[in-house]
Amino acid sequence: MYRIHPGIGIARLGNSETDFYLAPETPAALPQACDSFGNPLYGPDGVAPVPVKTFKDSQGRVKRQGARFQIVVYDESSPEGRPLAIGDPVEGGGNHGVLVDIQWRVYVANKKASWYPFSELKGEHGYAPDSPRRNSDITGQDRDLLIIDPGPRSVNAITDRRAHFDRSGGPGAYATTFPPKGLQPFDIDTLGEMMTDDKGRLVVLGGYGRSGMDVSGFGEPKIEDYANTDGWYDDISDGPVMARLVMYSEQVGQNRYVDVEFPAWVVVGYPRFAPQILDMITMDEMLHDLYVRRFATETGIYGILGTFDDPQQIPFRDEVALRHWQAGRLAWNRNYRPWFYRDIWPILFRPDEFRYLNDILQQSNYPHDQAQRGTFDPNKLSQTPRRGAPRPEVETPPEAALRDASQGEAVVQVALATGPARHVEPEDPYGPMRRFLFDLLRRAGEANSFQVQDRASSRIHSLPLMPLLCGDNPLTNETPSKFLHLTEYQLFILGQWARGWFINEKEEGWLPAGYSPFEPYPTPPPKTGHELDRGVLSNVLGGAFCPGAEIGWVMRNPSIYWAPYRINADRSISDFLQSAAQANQFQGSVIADYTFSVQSPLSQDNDFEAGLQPGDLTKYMALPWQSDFNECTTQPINITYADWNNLWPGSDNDKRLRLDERTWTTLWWPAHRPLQSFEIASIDNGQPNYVWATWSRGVPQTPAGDLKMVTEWSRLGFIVRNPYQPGAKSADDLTYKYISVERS
Amino acid sequence: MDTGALTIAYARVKAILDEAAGDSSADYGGAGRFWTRGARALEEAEIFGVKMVAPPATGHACCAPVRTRSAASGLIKGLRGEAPFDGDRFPALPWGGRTVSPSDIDHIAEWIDAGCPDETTSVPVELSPGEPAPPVRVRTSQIAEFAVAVEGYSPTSQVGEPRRRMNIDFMGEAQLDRLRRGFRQLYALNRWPEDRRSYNNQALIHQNHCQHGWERFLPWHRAYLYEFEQNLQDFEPGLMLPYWDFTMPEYRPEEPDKGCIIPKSMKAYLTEEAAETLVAALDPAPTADQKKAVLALARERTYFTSQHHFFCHLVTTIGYGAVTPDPKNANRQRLIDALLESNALWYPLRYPAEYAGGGTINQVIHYHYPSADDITQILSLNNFRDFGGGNIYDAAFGFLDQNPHNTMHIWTGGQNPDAGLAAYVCKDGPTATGTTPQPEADTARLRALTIRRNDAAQVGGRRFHARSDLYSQPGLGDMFSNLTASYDPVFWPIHVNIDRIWWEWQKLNPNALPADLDAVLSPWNCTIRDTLDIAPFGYEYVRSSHFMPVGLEAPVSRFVSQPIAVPEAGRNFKRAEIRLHQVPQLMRSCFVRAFLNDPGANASTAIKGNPHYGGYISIFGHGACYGGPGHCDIPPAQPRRFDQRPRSHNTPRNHRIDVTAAAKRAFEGGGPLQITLVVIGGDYQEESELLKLEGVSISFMD
Repeated sequence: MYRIHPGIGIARLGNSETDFYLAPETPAALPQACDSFGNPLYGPDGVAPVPVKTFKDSQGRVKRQGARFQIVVYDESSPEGRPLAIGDPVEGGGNHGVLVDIQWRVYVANKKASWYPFSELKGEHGYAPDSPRRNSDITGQDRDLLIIDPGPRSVNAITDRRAHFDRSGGPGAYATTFPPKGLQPFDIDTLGEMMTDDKGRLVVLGGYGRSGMDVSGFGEPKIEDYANTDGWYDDISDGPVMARLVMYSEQVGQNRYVDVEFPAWVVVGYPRFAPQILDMITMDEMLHDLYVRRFATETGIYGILGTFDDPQQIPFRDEVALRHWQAGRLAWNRNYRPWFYRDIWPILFRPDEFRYLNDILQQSNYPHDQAQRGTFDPNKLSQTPRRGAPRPEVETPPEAALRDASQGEAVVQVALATGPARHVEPEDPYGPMRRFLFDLLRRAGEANSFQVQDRASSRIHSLPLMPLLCGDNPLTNETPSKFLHLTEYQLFILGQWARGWFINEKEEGWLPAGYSPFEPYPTPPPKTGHELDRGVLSNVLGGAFCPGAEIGWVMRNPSIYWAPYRINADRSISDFLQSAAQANQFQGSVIADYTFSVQSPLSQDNDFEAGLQPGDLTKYMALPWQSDFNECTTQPINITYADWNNLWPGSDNDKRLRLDERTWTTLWWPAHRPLQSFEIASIDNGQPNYVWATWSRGVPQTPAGDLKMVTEWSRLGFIVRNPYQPGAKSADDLTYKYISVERS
Repeated sequence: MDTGALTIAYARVKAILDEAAGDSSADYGGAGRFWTRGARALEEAEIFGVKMVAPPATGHACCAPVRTRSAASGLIKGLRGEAPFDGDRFPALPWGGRTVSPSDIDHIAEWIDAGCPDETTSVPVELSPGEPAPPVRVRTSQIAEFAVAVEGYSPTSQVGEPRRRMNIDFMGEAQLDRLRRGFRQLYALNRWPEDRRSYNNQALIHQNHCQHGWERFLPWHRAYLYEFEQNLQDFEPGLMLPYWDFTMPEYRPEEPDKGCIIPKSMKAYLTEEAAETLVAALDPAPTADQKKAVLALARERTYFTSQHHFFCHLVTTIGYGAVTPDPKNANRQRLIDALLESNALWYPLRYPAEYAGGGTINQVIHYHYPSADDITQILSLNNFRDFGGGNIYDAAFGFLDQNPHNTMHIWTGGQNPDAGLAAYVCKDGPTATGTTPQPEADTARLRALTIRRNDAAQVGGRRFHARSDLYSQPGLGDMFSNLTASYDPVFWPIHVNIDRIWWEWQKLNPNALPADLDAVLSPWNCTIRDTLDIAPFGYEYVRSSHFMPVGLEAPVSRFVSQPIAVPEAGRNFKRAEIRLHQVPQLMRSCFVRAFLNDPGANASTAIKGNPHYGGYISIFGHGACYGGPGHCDIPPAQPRRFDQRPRSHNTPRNHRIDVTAAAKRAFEGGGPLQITLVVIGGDYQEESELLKLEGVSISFMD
């Protein structure tokens, strides 16, 4: 069995025509440096990837990020998979031989201009009939022209190693669809390119970040909205990636062909300007939670009550078994113990990182401080309840509903604190600290709650719930979802931790030598295809989706997956022109893809049953992307009434309401869209002096600023770990942990 | 292990764990160095809720397999790195320190299974559990043993009962003769050129309509096989087409030219009757020795893969030289007549495994004979385009179509080694010319032929299945071209097997469908959608099946079959199933327990741990009839004309018992197979006046 990994690869735009690097494959890692053919550079040991040194080329243009795909073979000797290399034995379709070449086929497109306007959560569960589309003045078959469709391209590892998603249509002379020439300020002539490296792996590059408007005249181009302005195009794209193995069969003295199991998918996003800082929820975490709860992928943790000790195996593709499982009494395994440093700390670690990205936290009292006196001191939060003296264990009956620790335990603590008795149990001195942090977390169903106001007895009374970041819809009164909450899985493991039911790896001697909690993410390169799938997506935004950064809420729709981390591709679009058996029959596979199999243009609609087409993931995002990117800094969220984002006291001349109205200026996702940062102002005697400055200065948070961002994005700095403060120092020593560099 | 050998004591266990843990400070969730506090403490130890030593198994000690306790113990799982100690929930034990060697883990496991003895006590291990109590023998003299039906007898044609397409290599001679009779009847219809059912007209359907290289390949052939099978059944009721599983070991897929090449039942041989006629007709008459040798061929049923082998045997071994490859040679015509007379499944224009210059299929055609592993790979494909072929806009070959199917056509068709020759050129024979085989000589031309197969077939001017045609010496076998392929009877078992592989794949991929489900499959009026399920076509696939008629006349208390001779080759199955055919509703509820090779089994025979016990079904009793006369009669097999009422509540049912494990055990000892079914009532006593059934069968499936 052969599979392409990662199942979803991430390329990123850049305006450099020459330079690029490879996507990071572990959380919060710098991208990997590579040569102009996509071959990664390695360190002296020949294994460790070399991180990229500069994010811009010699002319100050942003380098593109390549999405790299490789083939992993799964067989009896390696059920977890191992990378496949040219020269390895391969078999399939009833033939066996030696791998001599790999053919790759990629088909990306941009469907934004023909899709529905982004309107918060509208469409997540289907669009009402007659919902208006973007560019609704264009009708009938003319709407096909709104899709940027360069057609598919194929490369191999030997003779045809590079192809461009450009207007040419490639060697197969596909009749492409591109926007008309003369867009302002930039024309779009390509969605990117693809190439094979020396080991036959595929590298896909996206566009140059060129966006333009097909309207000219006074006052044009202009942007009117954070997500939708008619007439605009950008060169974001996404689409399926397919591979065919070419083997030489000694047995019959000829080449034979076999396809991988299923296509992978490439998504092009905008640059990751703060690559070493993770979002509060990553795409990997959002999907992991989805798969655990909807697709029974970790039935020892989430499954039918009574089965945790002997977890069920539910095949992902067995729809009936899955439905049966979902109809069971599903619950979290209350006996599961998360690991502090592997599972818990990497979540708690993140909010303090945001202090280097915005004024709101930088100018505060550091509520997430990890230093010795901080609320987030890992040395305190990691301590398990001492178990010296056996305590009367009150076993939680497995049938018990997941209890809300914020009520019961907090109340107990308050009662203890107010009574004459001690308020801290000596065997668990930091229990109250853990429970306080957990109690502050916003749960599912509290997306519109700013704070707990009506329980004066609660320790968290009047404190805002966390994370205090924008939700999927803080804008309109239709399906509002003001604030972000962690995933159910995250809340589950944090709840286990809060009640002391966790493992401290330090106490058990499991941590590798030299571990520092201030560099909490795993750094070894992924060993398995599954780890690669997850590692790549850990650097992608997992919420909130309004519409998000790279890809949005369509990703949490269970209907679009063929398997975990694998999009259900419409195979009539994604696969090679000929079947592999056809190639066997005619002794050759057509590398120039003539695609006569495409009997109709790329669809204006969705068909999740048939699968997704090129462009179907990114079409939900803002058009042009620069507008939403620019505006996603902070949002003044109206918190007067939980279920209302917009109030109109003027309509009733309601003075009381006008006075009651309150808003909270809330961050979106600073790791994807920084607001402020440290920069080096000068260097004296080799020591830098820093200045705290607005990151995108000169670009206001207005539609006019959005238009500026169309040209200014490539001048922005990249925020990296300060090379003058290297290493995993303790939190107390890290005043200037991240700085913005390479502003141009 | 010897009886009475003392297992290791706690001290040794502690020493092993101490050494492995080294100076690790792991806390084990508060338990600390849990193995250091004595044997009882270790037996009770838990870390993070996982019991280090599982509680002793309950139930009869003699029945519990050894090593279950240690295998369930967290300590052993942890030391071995098995879940939950596989690194996800916990790392392997010990935490810190170093890994314990497998032999030391075995020692600790032994200690656990011995009951965790400490230093002062030792528990002798009972190593040879006592002989089980001798089973109660019941007199079986009053219980009839039911015989397997005459071979070829098809269970029944009741509604709701699919017929079985079987493996041609596991069919008995009587079943094969029935198949040959069926083919002869269709050949005989060739005299009426307007009769659609005639063999030639059936073969013409393929010539004119056959679908290859795209998604209609599999559906079209499913419909085609069905029509042909129905035609056979006009003459031989219930006759089913067999399948040829060409990947079985006797075909030696890795070096197929050294294997069986084609099923024995389709090879050339002489019956004694045909041989008698033949030797009398040959001119000049053969010598006495030659006559004897020819008659011996018939008596000993010597099989020949192709006519070339047969004629070479005649010329070089028997020494009768008055025959040449010339189609007009009278003796050759007599010999071919005799072979056709002997075996209706043999076909002269079939040159299996014979390629130009004596080369192999790999060398000459660049195709390889399919192996079981190849089929496994093809079954693992996940979409219809790759498996069966692309749609009308994407007319692409599917793997099943391309390699096993095309290859088997080329394999069985072959290239005629006698074409255009004036004399038989036999390996090591007196008339051999001594030319060296040149495997590659014709490669280019033949490759072109393979690619454009249609051009290779010289259809014009042939009168198929006419004697002149069967005497002819074309360059390629009829199976080589899809225009002529189904004139050769070997076409059918190959395509039935392709259909069977599709059906296997359909069960694995129920949602993988062709694109154009509404396409009509000419020349029939069914659509692709109609072919997706085989049930409406009335067949199923089994390797082999043995039916024992019982009859509904009287109830049976216990069913015991006579020993069933299951051929050696048929014993390698995936699933075995006993079926109770046409059981009418029963008054009272009962269990039916199935035993294999335990003819004396009764209601008190143990089922737990009994290797002869196969499984059971429970049948829900219908209760006494509350209706008037005839209300609970068994309805006729076919309802009366115009009787459109719903299915009768008393329609007999079939019941199935999966006996795979017991059947595999039964075959381990070799010998025949004997089925016992015991009917047990609600009081756990045998019920002698309850179960009625049409018959019992056992089927073996792939």
